[in-house]
Amino acid sequence: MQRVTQVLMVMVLCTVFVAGVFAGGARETAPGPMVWVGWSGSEGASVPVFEEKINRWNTRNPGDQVEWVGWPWSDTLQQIIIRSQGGERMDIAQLQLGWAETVGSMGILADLDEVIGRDWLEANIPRAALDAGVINGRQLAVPYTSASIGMIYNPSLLAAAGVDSPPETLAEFEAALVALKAYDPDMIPYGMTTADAGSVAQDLNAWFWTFGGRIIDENGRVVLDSPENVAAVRWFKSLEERGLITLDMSRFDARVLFADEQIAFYDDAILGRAIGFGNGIPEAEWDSHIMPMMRPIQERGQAPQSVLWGHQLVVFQNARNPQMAGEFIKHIIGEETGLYYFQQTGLPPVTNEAIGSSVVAEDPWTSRWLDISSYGRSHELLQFENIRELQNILTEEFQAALIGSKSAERSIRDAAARMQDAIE
Amino acid sequence: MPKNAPGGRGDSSALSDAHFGLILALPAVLVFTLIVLYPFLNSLAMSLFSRSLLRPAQEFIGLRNFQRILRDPNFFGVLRSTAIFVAATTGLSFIVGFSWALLLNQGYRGSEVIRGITLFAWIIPGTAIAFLWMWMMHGQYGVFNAVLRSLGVTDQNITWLGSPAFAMMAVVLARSWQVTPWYMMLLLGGLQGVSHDQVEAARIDGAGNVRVLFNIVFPGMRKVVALTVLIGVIGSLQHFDIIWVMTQGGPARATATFAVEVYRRAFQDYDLGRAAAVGVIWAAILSVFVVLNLRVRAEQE
Amino acid sequence: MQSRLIDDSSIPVKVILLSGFLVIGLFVFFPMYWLLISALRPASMLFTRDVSLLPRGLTLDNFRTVVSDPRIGRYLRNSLVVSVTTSAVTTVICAYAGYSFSKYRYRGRKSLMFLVMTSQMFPFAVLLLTIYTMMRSLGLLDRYIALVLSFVTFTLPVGTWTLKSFFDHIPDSLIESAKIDGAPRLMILHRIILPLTIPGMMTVAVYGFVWSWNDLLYSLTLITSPDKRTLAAGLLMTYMGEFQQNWGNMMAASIWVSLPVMVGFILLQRTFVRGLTAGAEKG
Repeated sequence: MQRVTQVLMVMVLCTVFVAGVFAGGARETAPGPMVWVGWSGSEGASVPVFEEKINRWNTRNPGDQVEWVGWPWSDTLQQIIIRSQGGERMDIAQLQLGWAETVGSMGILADLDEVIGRDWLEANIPRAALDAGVINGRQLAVPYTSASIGMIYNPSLLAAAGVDSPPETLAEFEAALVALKAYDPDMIPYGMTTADAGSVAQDLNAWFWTFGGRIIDENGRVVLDSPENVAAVRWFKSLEERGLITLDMSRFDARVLFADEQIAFYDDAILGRAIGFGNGIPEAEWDSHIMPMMRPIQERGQAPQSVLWGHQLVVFQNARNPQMAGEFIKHIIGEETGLYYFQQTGLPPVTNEAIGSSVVAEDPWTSRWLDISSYGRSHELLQFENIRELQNILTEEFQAALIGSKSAERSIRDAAARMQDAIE
Repeated sequence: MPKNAPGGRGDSSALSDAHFGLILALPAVLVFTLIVLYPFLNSLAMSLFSRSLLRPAQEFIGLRNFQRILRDPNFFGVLRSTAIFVAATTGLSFIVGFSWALLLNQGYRGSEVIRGITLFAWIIPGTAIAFLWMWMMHGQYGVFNAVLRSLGVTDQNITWLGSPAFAMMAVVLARSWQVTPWYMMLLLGGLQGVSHDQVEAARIDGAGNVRVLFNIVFPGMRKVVALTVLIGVIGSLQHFDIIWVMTQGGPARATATFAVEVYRRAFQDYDLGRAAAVGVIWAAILSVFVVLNLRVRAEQE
Repeated sequence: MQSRLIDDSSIPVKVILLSGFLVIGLFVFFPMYWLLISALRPASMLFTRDVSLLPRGLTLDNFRTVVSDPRIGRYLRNSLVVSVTTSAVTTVICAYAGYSFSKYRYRGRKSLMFLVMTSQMFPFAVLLLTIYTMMRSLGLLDRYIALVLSFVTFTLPVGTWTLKSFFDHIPDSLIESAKIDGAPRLMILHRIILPLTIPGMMTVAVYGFVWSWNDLLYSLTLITSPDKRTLAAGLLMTYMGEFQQNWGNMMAASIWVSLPVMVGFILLQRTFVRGLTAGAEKG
C-alpha cells in the first residue's frame, strides 16, 4: 500500500511540475515565408515541377516568398491535422478531394470568397468544380486539378481473348472477364481495388450507382442496405469466386499488373497512362495497350457512372497574409502555371481558359478522359468529416463478404448499421 | 534486504548519499516525466472525454467511451488478433532465435560472420522490411508463389494478404524476421554464460545432449529467457509499422492489433476519446506484463 | 579450444544440426538475398511471371539512382546525427540511473524504478499527440532534441535495467576502498565503475541507436522541414508516392543506407555480444 501511495505522490508531483512548465503559453508565430504544404511537391518526378512553379512566384514576389513542406501522400492529412492542433502556422495546403471536409470542419480554413473573391472564382472556374469545394455553404477549397476516376482497359488483350470492343453493359463486361480468364487462367481480368479503404469505397460507390443503389440519401441518412447494393456485392462475390477479381489488390499493384498485361481492366485517375508509361508501356503501344473507357452500365441508354477525383487548394485562417495566399493560388491554377503543370505531369488544369486551351483539347487521352469526367459525381461519403472511418467500415464489410466470412446481405446490413452509428 | 550503502562516512561532499543517488537518477526521471508521464496522464484524462482530433473542444462523458468500445463486437476480434500476433511472433522468434543461438554457439568456423550478417535484418527500417515481405508474398510476382508452384504444391497463385489466416501469418513472419536477431543475440549471451564445467561434469556422468539441454542449459538460462520473452512481448504489442504497411489491419480487420486500433481511432476516425480509452485498456493489460517483469527482476535483488 | 555445448560426434546429431542450419539459415538469409536480388534487378525483371531464383539479369541501375540522389545522403547524415546522439545520451542517462538504483538506497527508489519501467507501456501514437503540443510550446519542434528526448525515454527501461544488472555485479567493496582513498563519488563512478561496464554500455548504445534508426512515427511528426528528415521518413517519402511505389529503388536505398551501420556493427560486434552476454547472464 505504501508503494502505491509513493508512486502516486511522485506522479502527482511530476505532473504539477510539467503543467507548470507549460502554463507559459504558446510561442509566437515567427514571421517567415508562406508555407505551402502537401505531397506532390515531394514526389519523384514532380519535385522539379513544383520547384519551378514556386520559383516563378518567388522571383515576382520577393516580399512574399513561398516555401514547400511536403509529406508522404498517405501521411499528409494526418500531418496537417496534428500541425494545426499544435497551432503551427501553415498558409496554403494541397488536399485530396475529400480531405477538405475534414480539415474544413476543424474551422481553420479561410473563406476563399473573401480571400480570392467570388467574382474571380466564378469567372474563371467551372461551376461544378467550384461547388466541390463548398463546405457547409462556404467556399473553403478551390480545385487544383480535376478529373474523374475512370476505367482503363487493354485493347490488344481483349482482342486476343476474342472481345472486339470494350464492354458497355454489365453482362458484356462479365462475359469479357470470363473470356479473358479462359484465355489465360493466371490472369486477373479485372484488377478491382480491394485493398486500401479510400480507393475501395470510391470505386464501390460508382458500382453501387451502376446497380441503382446509393450509400447516403439527400437527408444524410445511410441507405446502403438496399437490394441493389446487395446485388452488387453478390455480383462481386461471384466474380471473386471465379478468380475474375482478387483480394489484396491495391491501385499500385493493379497499375503494375496492368502494364505487365496480367490485368485487362482496372480503375484509375487520369494519370493512368503516365503511370503506365513509368511502368514500362512504351508510347508506341499506347493505343493498343492502354485506353480509357466508360464504366459499364446495367442496360443500354443509362448514364455511365464515375466518381469525381482531384486535388484542391485551401488557405488557412492563420495564414501570415491570407490575401497574398489567395494571390498565390491564382498564380498556381492560372492559365500559365496550370498549363505548365499539365504539360509536365498530365494533370488537367481547372480554369476555363486553360481547359479550353488547344494544348489540352488536342491531347486525345485527356479529352476522352474529360468526357468520362462529364459524368462525374461526388463520392457520397465526402460530406462527412469522418470520411475515413466510414470508408474503413464499408471496405471492411465488403472484404468480409469477399472472403466469405459473411453473406452479401449480412455484410451490407452490418456496414449500414455501423456507418449510421458512426455518423451519429 | 536493504544493504549498507557504500561510503557515507568520511565523504568530503556535503551531499548525503541518498541525495547523491537521487540526483543521479534525476535525468531519467525528468525525461520520463516529460515524455511519458505527462502525456500518459493527459491521455488518461482524455479517455473520459468526448474529444475529436479535429477540435480542441471536449465534453466530459465519464466511462461512456469504454462502454462503447466494449459494446463493439469487433473489439474482441482486436483482442484476439493482438493475442495471436504477440504470441506467434514471440514464439516464433524465440524458437528460431534460440535454435540459431544454439547453433552459432557451437563455434563452427564462420559462425561470427553468420552472426554478423544475421544482425542486418535488425537495422533495416521497419517500413522497408514490410515492403520486402509484401514483395515476397506478392500474389503474382512473389517468390513464395513461384517456389510453391514450381514445387507443385499449388497450381494457382495464392493471394496471401487477401486471406485472414495467411495475412496474419505474413505479418507474423515479417515481424519475427525483424526481431530474430535481437532474440538470437540475447540468448547467445545467455548460452555463453552457461557453465562449461557443469556441462563437462554432466558429460562425464554420461549425460546426452537432451539431458544437458534440459538439466543444465535451460535451468541456467531461466532468467535470460524470461527477460527476452518479456521484452519481446512488450515490443510486439507496441509494434505498428510492419502491420500498418502490409495490411493496414485488414483484410476485414483480421490483423488489427491494439497498436493499429489505437492509431486508426485517433488518426482515421479522429476520435481521441475512444483512442485513449483503447489505450487505457491496453495499458491495463500490458501492466500485467510489466509487473511480471518487475517480479523477475526483483527476484535477483 | 573448449568442447562444444552440443556433442556433435554422432551422425544423427550432425544431421539434426545441419538441417537446423539449413532451415533457419533459409528463414534468416533468404529474405536478405531476395532484398539484394530485387534491388539489383530492373523493373522488367521484377514484374514478370517467370520469377527466377538465381541471380540473373542484374544491374546496378537502382543503386546508381539512389547513390546519386543527394536527398538520400542527407537523410543518412541526419539519421546518423539523431541516432548517435540518442545512443550517447541514452547510455549516459541509463548509466547514472542504473548506478543510482543499484548502489544507493533512498526513499522512493522503488517507485522511481517502477515508473521508469513503464516507459514502454502506453501506445506511442497516443503519447505523440500530447508530446507534439508540448514540444511546440517549448519551441523544440523541428529540432533534433525533440526526437532525441523521446527516443531516450522509450529506451530507458531496457537500458537502465541492463546497466543496473551490471552494476549489481560490481562488489560494493570496490567502491568502499576507493572512498577510503578519498576519491569523490562522481569520480569513482567515472574512473572506476564505468570502465568496468563498457560492454553493457555498448549494448545500451546499440539499442538506443537502433531504436531511433527505425522510428517512423515520431520523426515524421516532430521534424517539420524536409531538409531535416531522417531516413525512415525520408525513404518513405521519396519512394512511396500517391501514384507510384518504386520498389526497386526503395530496396536498393534500404541496403545502401544500412551499409555504414552494418560495418559499424560488425566492428563492434564482439564488445556488443559480450555486453549482451554479461547482461543476459546477470538478468
